[in-house]
Formats: sequence, C-alpha cells, structure tokens
Amino acid sequence: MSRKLLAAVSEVAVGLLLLALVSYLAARLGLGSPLAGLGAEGEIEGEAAERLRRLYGLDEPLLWGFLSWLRGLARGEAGPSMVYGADALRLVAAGLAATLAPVTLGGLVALAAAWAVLASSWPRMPAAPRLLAHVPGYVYAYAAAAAAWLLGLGGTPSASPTRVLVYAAVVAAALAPRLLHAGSEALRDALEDNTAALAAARAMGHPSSWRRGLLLRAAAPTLLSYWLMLYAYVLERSIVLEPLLSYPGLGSLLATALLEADPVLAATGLLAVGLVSYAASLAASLLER
Amino acid sequence: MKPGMRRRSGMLLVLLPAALIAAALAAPGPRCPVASPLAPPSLRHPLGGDPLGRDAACILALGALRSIVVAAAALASSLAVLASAAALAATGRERLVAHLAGALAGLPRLPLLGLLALYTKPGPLLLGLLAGLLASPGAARSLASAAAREARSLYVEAALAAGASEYWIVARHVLPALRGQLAAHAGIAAAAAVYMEAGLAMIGLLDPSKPSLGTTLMLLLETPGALLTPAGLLQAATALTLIAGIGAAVYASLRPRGRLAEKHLLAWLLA
Repeated sequence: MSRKLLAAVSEVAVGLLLLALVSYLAARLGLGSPLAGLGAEGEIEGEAAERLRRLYGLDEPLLWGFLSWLRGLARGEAGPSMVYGADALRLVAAGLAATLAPVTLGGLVALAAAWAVLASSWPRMPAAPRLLAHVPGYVYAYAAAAAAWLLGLGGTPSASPTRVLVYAAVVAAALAPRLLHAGSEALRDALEDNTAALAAARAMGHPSSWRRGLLLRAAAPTLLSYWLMLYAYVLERSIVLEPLLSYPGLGSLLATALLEADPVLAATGLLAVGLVSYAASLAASLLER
Repeated sequence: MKPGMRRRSGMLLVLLPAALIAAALAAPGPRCPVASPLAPPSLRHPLGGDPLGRDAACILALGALRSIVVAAAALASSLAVLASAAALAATGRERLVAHLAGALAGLPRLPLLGLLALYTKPGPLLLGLLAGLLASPGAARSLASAAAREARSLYVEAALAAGASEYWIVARHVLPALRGQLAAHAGIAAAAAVYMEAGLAMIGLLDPSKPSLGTTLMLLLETPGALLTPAGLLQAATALTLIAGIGAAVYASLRPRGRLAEKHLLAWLLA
C-alpha cells in the first residue's frame, strides 16, 4: 500500500513540475507582455520600459525566470501581476477561496440529491437524469447568464450571495445526473460483489431496507471517489463557467490573465488549478483502493 | 469482424474524410450571405441574422463544420497516443507507460488548452490535435494494462515461440484485440475536444473572426438585447444543441455496447 502511495505521490509531483514548466514557458512565450504594445505606441520607452521589464522579471532568460518563479513560490511570492499590481500568489489564493465555496456547496447538494434518489429508487432510475448527464456544464451556466441578463442582474463581476447560489446551482445541475450514473454503476458492482452476504442476510430475515443499506455502504467509496473526480472537473471548467456567470473566482482570474497577457498570473493560476485537480484525483484513487 | 467493430470502423472511415472535406470548404473563410442584424427568421434566412449582420444559419453551419474538424483531428491524435501507449506496454514497458499516464492524467486540460491556443494561434486541425493529446493520458493507463494482459496471453506466447517479433505481435495481435477500446476512448477524447473548443471560443480565448459555435454564443450574450429577440433565442438554442449534439454523436457512434458501455459512460461523463 505504501509503495503504491509513494508511486502515486511521485506521479503527482512529476505532473505538477511538468505543468509548471509548460505553463510558465507558454505564458512567457505565448502571452508576451503588455509592455511591448505600450512601447510600440510610444507611451513607455527607453529606461522606463526597461525598469518595468526588470520589475516583472521579463528581462530574465526563460529557464532562469522559471527557477526564480519557483523559488518565489516556495517563499510564498509568485511576483507581481501585471494586470492587478498585487502579488500573483495572493490573488490566486483569494480567487481559489472564492471558487471553492460555491463549487463545494454545489457538489455537496448534487451528492446529497444523487444519494437520496439512489437510496429511494435504485434500481428503478428516472430517465431524465440519464439524458441530462450528457449536457455540458456550461450550458447551464449560459442559461443562467442569459437569465441574469434578462432579469437585469447586471454583468459586473461580484461574489454576492445571489451569485454564489447561482454558481452552486449550476454546479449541482451539472454534477447530479453524473453522480446518479456513477452511483447506479457502483450499486450494481456492489450487488455482484456481495451476493453471498445478501443471500445470507435474506435467509436470516433481515429486512430489505437493511440489505439496501448494505449495498449503499459498499457503494459509498466508489461514489465519493467519482465525486472527487467531478470536483476537479468543475474546477477545471471554472475558466469557462465564471466569466459566463460574472463571478470573480479563480476561473475568471485565469481567463483575465490569459486575455490580458499576464504571464505570471496565468502560470500561477494554472498551477493552482492543477494542484487541486491532482489532489482530488489522488484522493479519488486512494478511496477506490 | 464483430458488428460493433464494423460500425466503429465504418464511423472512423466516414468521419475522417468528412472532416478533411469540411476543413477544405471552411479554409477560404466565411462567405455567408448578408442579413440585417438580428433579423427575424424567414424563408431566406431560416435562423435570422446574427448580431454582426450575417446569415445565422450559414454561420452556425460553418461553426458546426469547424467542430467536426476539431473532433476528427482529436480522434486521430488520440488514436495515435493510445495506440503508442498500448504498443509500448505490450513490449514490456507497462510500468513506464502507467507512471507517465498517471503523471499526465491530472493536467487541467481546458485551461492548458486555452494557454496553448493563445501561444500557437491554432486553426481547427491543430486545436483538435492538441485537445486529443491532452484528453488521452487518462485512458492510456487502462489501455496499457489491457495491452500488457493481451501480450501475456497464450496465443501470443505461442507466436513468440514460433519466432514472431515483438512488433509483429503488437501489430497483428495486440492492437487489433484492443481496437474497440481504442476507438471508444478516442471517441471520448474527440467529443471532449468539441466541448473544449466551444467553451474556449465562448469566453474569447480563440480567434473571434473564425466562425465557431462558441463565438456565436459569445456574440449573442455580449450584444445587448440579442437574447430578447426570436432570432437570438433561436440561434442560442441551435448553437447549444449543435455543441451537445455533435459531441454526443461522436461519443455514441464509437462507444462499446453491453455491460462495458455503462463503465465507459462514467469515463465519458468526466469529459
């Protein structure tokens, strides 16, 4: 068990290092810098432009800049964001906290709803969730964005309680049908794996509710594992969901960093999403074992 | 050949050339008829005019073609990656492939694709290739173990004893035996690529001058009052249905049947 855990942790470490390298290099090379545009228009030139390049670490060679960025992260500083002026790591941490709240709330609501349907209806499953499971999550976000516009709720990003609830509702709508499928499959596997135990329970006169409880307990780790993977799935898609919902979380921050050519913020944000995604996947694989 | 495999092979033979034709048609750029911005649906313009004053049906058709090209390119790149992973695992490198796939499986695909798209400024072919590459590591691990199991089967050992080379074994026995799983997992990657392309276009991370279903949705949302018009609502509903429909069609045409289908569905629902 410990060797497998060590192997899984090393895979995560290698994956994160690769993600950090690709993110930093692609951000530096691909996004360029707003300074280039400003200098071309004559607003900033000469000594002023050079000073700004040094301030944002854009004068360093790529590999040295990458190592400096990693050293800064280890000290708790990623460097200043060109768009917001504040340290990128602090911005990303605040964005992550803002995103985790509605995603966790929506995920828990979806899990509770799926569990309730499975406990009461399985194996007779309603047909509607089966179809809804194929709908991409951002369809709900688009519908919510359109409804918000129609209701005059405005497009200014805010983390108001209404927006948090709408975000959580979108997450719950996207995850609940998927969790129902996963739970149904887990119960089917649990039924196959516990045939002897169920037969013995029936012979001893245990009621069907007790036998159903046995199946649900056996299926719980698989369902939780799938929930964790879906959690990472939603976090990854926050880059599309949050701009649609005008919600100022990590996804919006990442989208802004990419659109506004902020290499340090983009690389740091991407690393944060990757870290949570890997952690959720690791926890999911440990639960399944 | 089993009927399911015949259907999946037929789907691949249809999808890939269709996508190349679609890419050729879309290459010179949109030549859609002009219409009044957000004009109501009519016989001449069945979906009305889009917010920029173009025939919406034409723009959505070009966007759908783009999605098909992305799906086909992703299918091709995913098949290449997964077949390579299976081949390496069948020739004794299963642990290497499993660890590498494990390291790459947790990458946040959508934001990473957005970043790479800004760097490479891709057309639909390159975007699909990148999306297929990013969507494949998760399936590579399970395919690697299946390939290694296949390579240890008795008939393979008999072939080796008769003097067959490892590469002949892979090409003649292992990959054909895994053909269904390869197609199914590559189908998931292709469907995921359709969703990723539309999602990134919707928030403006792809070139907005190229017709895309996601770009149409972005235009409708950002044009004040567009979604209050019959044309705007119809175009939004059509675009969302096309995105979901193309992705689901690609997945459904390549998925396995029977008991394996339910297991496979769980992987699809994470796409």
